Amino acid sequence: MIHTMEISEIKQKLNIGKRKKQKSSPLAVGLCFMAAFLICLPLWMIPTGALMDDMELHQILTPVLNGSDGYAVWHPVPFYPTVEHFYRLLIGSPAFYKLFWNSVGMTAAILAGQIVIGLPSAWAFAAFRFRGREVLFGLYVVLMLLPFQVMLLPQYLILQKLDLYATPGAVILPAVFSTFPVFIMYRGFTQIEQEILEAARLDGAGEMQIFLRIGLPLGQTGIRAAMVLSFLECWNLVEQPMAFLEEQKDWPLSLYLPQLDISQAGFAFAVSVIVLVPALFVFALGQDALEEGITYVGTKK
Amino acid sequence: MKCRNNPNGIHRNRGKRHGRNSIAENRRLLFLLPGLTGVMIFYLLPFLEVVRRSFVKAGNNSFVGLDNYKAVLHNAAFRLAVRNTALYIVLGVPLLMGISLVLALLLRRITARRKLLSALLLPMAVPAAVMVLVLQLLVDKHGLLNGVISELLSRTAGMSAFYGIDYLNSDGALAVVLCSFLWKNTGYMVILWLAGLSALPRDVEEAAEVDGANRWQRWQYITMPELSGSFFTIGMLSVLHIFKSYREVWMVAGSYPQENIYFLQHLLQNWYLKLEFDQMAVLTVLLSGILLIVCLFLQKHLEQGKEA
Repeated sequence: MIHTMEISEIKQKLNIGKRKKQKSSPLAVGLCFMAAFLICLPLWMIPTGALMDDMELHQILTPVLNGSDGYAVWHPVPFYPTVEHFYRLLIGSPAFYKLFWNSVGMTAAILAGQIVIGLPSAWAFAAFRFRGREVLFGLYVVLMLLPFQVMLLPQYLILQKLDLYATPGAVILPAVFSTFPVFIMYRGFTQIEQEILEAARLDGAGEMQIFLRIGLPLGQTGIRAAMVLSFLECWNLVEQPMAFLEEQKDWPLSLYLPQLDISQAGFAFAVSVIVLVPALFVFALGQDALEEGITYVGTKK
Repeated sequence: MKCRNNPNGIHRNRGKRHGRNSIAENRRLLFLLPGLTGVMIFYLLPFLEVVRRSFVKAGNNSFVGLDNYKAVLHNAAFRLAVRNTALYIVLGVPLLMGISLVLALLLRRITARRKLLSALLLPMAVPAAVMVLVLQLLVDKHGLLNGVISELLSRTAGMSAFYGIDYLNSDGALAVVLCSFLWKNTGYMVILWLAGLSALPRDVEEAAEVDGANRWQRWQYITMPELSGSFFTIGMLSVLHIFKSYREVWMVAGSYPQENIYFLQHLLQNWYLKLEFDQMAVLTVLLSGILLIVCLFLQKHLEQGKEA
């Protein structure tokens, strides 16, 4: 930060009389604002749609609903704001509650499992040198980069064999052993200097002690990054529950929305708001960690 | 990297001499064991089983060599899916890389970029199901996008007879998929470009500017060579993200979409539902083979960068 400030000061001094540089900055700001605006614009429809009453929605969406001539329009601000959809959702939709708590339960179980199982694995890769470490870690990286569909058949076979198919465990267990959070937490741990660990070992600290007293506190950024990324992924699970859960009562919330017909748009938008709020909350709290996690994947140590 | 390993190397040798330390050594592996067991059970072993199945006949388990592979390679749906997936990659990767690079270069000129970056990253937090609802209203034949286009056309060109494009059921389907892919992933790649650019010594650039190098020269001789490593990494990650973007495609267009957006994942998913496991095994092996090559290139590249 200080470095960039110094440079910008020097730059200002050097650039006296040069208008070219100063002119380019507003343009950059303008273009970036435009991109940000375009990206966020469609999201505005979600809260506004949730607060519109059915009459208004039907009126502006008639062309889409009936396929009649003309085009749908949107009111950036609802004419007659109402919370009737939320009321219906919270009072009169038992299925919604069930699926909401399914989602919460699944996400909590997966994140807890990743901490209990994945965190020590990450520590083992970061703190110890053992035979086959490089190969094994390479395997972990490949596994984390593969799309789900590649693992669809393999996981189906093993879930059948273990009698887990069509139980919540079919979604939770493979996710618990996902190698992605291990990688992210590993990268967080590698920020710790090996010398510190060596010193602790020479002073007679046990491995468990080193892990708990040095690893956990110093590797926090990586742990937070892994948890944020995992949460966003778990809250958004679609293919796994679709493939491995048969009964609707076991589904997560992310599969509830696609079932709603577009004619109940207001209700669907209200559900969207409820789905969106926890994700945005985590995003707002953990944006730094999120950015850190992204750079872990795409940069060298 | 080598010298970093050294202290541990010494330690390990010492461990072999003293019994107490070799117990410690075993205890260390207890950290890894639970996780590794799970990875073996849920990922590696079933995957190897699928590799085996790709060479045998589904019913009686007899070895049939490459027969399953031949069947898949001659399958019309497979060829269509390969063509579409390849086209999606060829269009999507350069677009994503280009747009995110431009945004990253622009963002670098802005000091207060936190808020902007948040806005670009926001789509990462939006669950696919939520976005699909919005997307449907936008790209419907009578949807908001066509409404805006027809409004613009009638105002500027005086054209009033604009027939709305049915994007998801026409050749425009790929454009919709591309836009949703870009929407979701641009912020992610901007972060990576910014990380690559932050390694670039700013003083060099400043010095060149003072020496009178114009913007193009600075880009050509300073920025671009420095970013060449990032180009590769971000390109490979973009390819992998294309494959991960299937979720949105499936949710917005279903299992049997317009034929331009019928991808390899649709095929896998549909074979799964039809229980055609031997074909699925072959496709799993082929697809993971290709992606494995991408991953290995990526890893090798990052390893090399580490030593430099």
